Amino acid sequence: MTGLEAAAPAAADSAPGSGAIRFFGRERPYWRLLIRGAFLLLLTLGIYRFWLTTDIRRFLWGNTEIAGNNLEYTGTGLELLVGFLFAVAILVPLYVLFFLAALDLGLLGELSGLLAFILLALLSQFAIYRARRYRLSRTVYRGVRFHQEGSAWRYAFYALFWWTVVLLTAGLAYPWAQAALERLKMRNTFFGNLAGRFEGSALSLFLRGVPMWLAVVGPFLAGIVAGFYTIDWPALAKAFEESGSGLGDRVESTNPEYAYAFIFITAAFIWAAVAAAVLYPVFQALVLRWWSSGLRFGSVTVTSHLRTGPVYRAYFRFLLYGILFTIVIAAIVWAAFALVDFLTGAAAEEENGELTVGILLVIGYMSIALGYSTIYQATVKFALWRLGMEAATLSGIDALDHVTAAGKPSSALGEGLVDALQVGGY
Amino acid sequence: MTMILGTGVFFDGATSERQEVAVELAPATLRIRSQSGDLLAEWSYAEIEQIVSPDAVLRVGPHGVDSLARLEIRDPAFAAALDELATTVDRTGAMQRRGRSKLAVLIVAATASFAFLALVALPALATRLTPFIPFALERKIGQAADAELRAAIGSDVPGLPLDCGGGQAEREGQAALQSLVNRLAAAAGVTMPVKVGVLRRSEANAIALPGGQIYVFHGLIAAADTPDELAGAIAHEIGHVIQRDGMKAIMEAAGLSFLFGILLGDFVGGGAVVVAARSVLESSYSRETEAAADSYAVAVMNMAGRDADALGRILARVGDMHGSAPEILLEHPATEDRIAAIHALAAPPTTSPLLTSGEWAALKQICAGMLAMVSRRFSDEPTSLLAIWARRLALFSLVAAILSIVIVRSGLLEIVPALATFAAALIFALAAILLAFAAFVAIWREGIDGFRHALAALAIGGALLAYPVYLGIAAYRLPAIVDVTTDPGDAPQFETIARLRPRGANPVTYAGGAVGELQRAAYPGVAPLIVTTSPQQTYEAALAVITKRRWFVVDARPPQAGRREGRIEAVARTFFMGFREDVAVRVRPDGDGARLDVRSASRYGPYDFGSNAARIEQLIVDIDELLGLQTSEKKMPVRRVPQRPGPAAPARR
Repeated sequence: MTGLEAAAPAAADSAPGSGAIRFFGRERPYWRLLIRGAFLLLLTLGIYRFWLTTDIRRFLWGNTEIAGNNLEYTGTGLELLVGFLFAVAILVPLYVLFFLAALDLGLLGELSGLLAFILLALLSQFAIYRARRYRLSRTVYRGVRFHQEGSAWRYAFYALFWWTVVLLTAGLAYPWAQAALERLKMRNTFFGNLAGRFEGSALSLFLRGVPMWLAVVGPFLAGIVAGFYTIDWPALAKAFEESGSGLGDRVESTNPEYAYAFIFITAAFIWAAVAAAVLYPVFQALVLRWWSSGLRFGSVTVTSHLRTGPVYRAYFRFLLYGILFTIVIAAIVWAAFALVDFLTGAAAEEENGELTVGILLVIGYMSIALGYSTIYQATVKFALWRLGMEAATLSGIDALDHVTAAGKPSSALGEGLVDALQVGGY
Repeated sequence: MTMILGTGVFFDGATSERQEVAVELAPATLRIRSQSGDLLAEWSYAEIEQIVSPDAVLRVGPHGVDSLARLEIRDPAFAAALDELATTVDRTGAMQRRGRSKLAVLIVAATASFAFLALVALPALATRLTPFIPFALERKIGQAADAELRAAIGSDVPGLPLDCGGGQAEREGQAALQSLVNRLAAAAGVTMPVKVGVLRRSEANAIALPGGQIYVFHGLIAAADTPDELAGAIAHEIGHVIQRDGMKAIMEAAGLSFLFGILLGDFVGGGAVVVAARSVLESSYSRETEAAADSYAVAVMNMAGRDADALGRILARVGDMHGSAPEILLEHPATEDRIAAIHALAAPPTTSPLLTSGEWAALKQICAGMLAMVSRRFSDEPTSLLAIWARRLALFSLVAAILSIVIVRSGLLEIVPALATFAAALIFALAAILLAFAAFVAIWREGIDGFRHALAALAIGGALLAYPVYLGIAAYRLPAIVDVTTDPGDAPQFETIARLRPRGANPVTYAGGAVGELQRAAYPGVAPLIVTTSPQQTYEAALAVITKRRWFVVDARPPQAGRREGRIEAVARTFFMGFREDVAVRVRPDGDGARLDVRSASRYGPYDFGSNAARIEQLIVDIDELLGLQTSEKKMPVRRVPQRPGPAAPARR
């Protein structure tokens, strides 16, 4: 990706004194980059993703201008590939171990599932922290790189603790978990010798988010509680165990209020699911606004005025493009199957026919997954980056003028682990 | 060679300080000097690397060394000069692309080797490794597979369990089956325990699980005419057990899922590919595996002294009446080849039958009561595939067309993808019609079912295509004009609308000349409205008609006598798609009365299907009517004869 392809014609000539953040990336070249990447991913069974990720970051970073100067991403695809191979070398023996342990009956076998879950959760958090370290150390601004210190294992335990609390409180502790984890991350984040910190208030996020919690999680919990109390579970289980017809009658006789309870629970769950889908963009905008407004570097402060409407629009565009894409894919799949039908005719049980259908299925699945991922990248992720950046302003930017370089580029092991464990990120 | 001088912004990589610097482009090196003339950095052109940045900025830094020193140049001419000198600066991206295509070749090679790994190396590895897996472990895996099998298939008779053989009346048959298996195992010299059970399923099938459990589906027992046929099928499954084929398949699946899962990564959500790959792999053993199990079965039957050809006979029979469920015994295809191979190896029978006729009759009683279902399943009259596909295609095109209209009308997406969807929908409708005709032929000739499907496809496809076809004919007969006016010599102008038109739309200025001639020939009815009412009255009537039609009025200025003409600019929308078409109305004094001119233009595309002309004609008729109503009390002739021949024809829509 070169500057010519990547950027808007608008001149980057804003006064260095203003703390505005601007984004020059245009949608068309971004689409082009993603679509070409998707084809290469398909051709290479996904190996190209390291280079595509690098291109995406170069584009997003390079077109972001903070107070008159651009960000720069200096990572390479090869680094990511090497990091990934290291991660695989760590994970393969681990997986084999767990597989063997799971086959062993007895206590070890029983425990191995839980143990594997905890270990992988820890490893995921470790990976997230290390991946952040890699990305920061490849982010350069005004000739000085960012970097991150601190122990990733410490973060992993800390994060596991907080996520457990979030789970136990049905999400109510989420603001405190976010604030605590973000404080830990930002405390260890540096721009050159300028230390970062995080000042977002958990309480203010909680107060803003609690109506949403009530709308989504409230009915869900109510449904679970109702189910717990109104249904006679042992009787229900027994009714299911008895074989033969007349299941409905048996359920009816053991649980006279079964029908009402069932309707209420279903309605509660459906409500929760719909509310979650409808409110998700609001939630995302809220958290993004809260998060950016809490960032600090020395005397530099960030304020975000992100609005919810454009975030909705981004999701809506994703939905519409997704539907269009579905139609196209459905048409192609139908055509392909019709072709197979006609070509093989009645002798569809040919071994080759079966294999062809299998290969078609795999290719079809990959194209669909790639298509949605591409559309998601080009609509939602792109919009969130642009909106998040443009909505933010910096103040106290004089401190940016006299930063001394510090920190070294770090390895991409964390990125590899994140990739192999599939915990995602930009 | 002279030195080129310019300015730039320099970051030295040690601090974040932003320095305004003077830049010298010497023949071999680039020198960066501070305002006071000190040399800050000197880079040879070969070591310069360009770094991604917005268009207006050229940013370079030293390549390969771990330095973050950066120079930014904003003067386009100076940037071009640097580009000229430094071959590594790549403003057009050509070098990068070349590097990338080399990389792509490498990656494709890597992919090919990966495919080799998955298709060749992995099965070979699984075959080699399987003998080392302890049998106890295999039995454990077999138990898991058993649970999964039971989750996947259920009893074919509601209310009865999947496993047969529990009833009093079946006990004798169960014993007969076990004795059959024992004789086979003894003949083959099998040492590991082989268990056999019957499942209440109507397919003619049998499965061997890892660890030695064999399940015979009741449909297979029903299909078998002699004990030897059933024995051959069971011997085939024992072959799979002995060769540990199930274990091999599971090893392959595990390896494949691991390879895929790790390589595909997050971008494509690898998990589901794993499932797909696994199901492809598990759906059948390979032809070689199957042939090996066949020859094992023949060898066992020969050793037992019975007719091995019976396996071929039952294969042929169940192959003829294939059902719909997964067919693990006979999924393998080249049944005729298998039968021929079995026949070549089979020896004639030398001993007495494996079961007495009494035992055989008892065995046949296992799962009794399913035969009626089995026979019914194969007697349905087939439906024409063509007809089914025709109807599906038609329904699909209908949904696609509706959706594309919704998208265009709501204006949420760009117009081009939506129109492409619509075009695709029409193509599918056409294909549906063609398929429907093909289906009629097939139904006529083969006497199969599906006439209603084909008819439905024809109706839906026809309904979808009718209107576009009508439009297409209209477009073919009409000239390619999208800008129609009653006054080609001095067309009303789009002033406010010009600002509303998106980029890439048709031009706002009237082309005049040839277009006017074409229009006059195609739409002789398009002529100005010349009335006896005052310009003010005419203007108000026009505005009333436009408002009533709910066009979006963007500008309206009433006429002022002797000072300015009246004008209305509005945006109309077409009926189906809701495309925006711009309309301008101009009212000028004309003698005692007034003259009203209209212009209507589409925003996109080379054809308007006559909609602009129709709109103008209808608008003029309506305005005329309204004025006539208003003035009828005064009994005044409102409309005067226009100068040109050819009065406004009654509009079609």
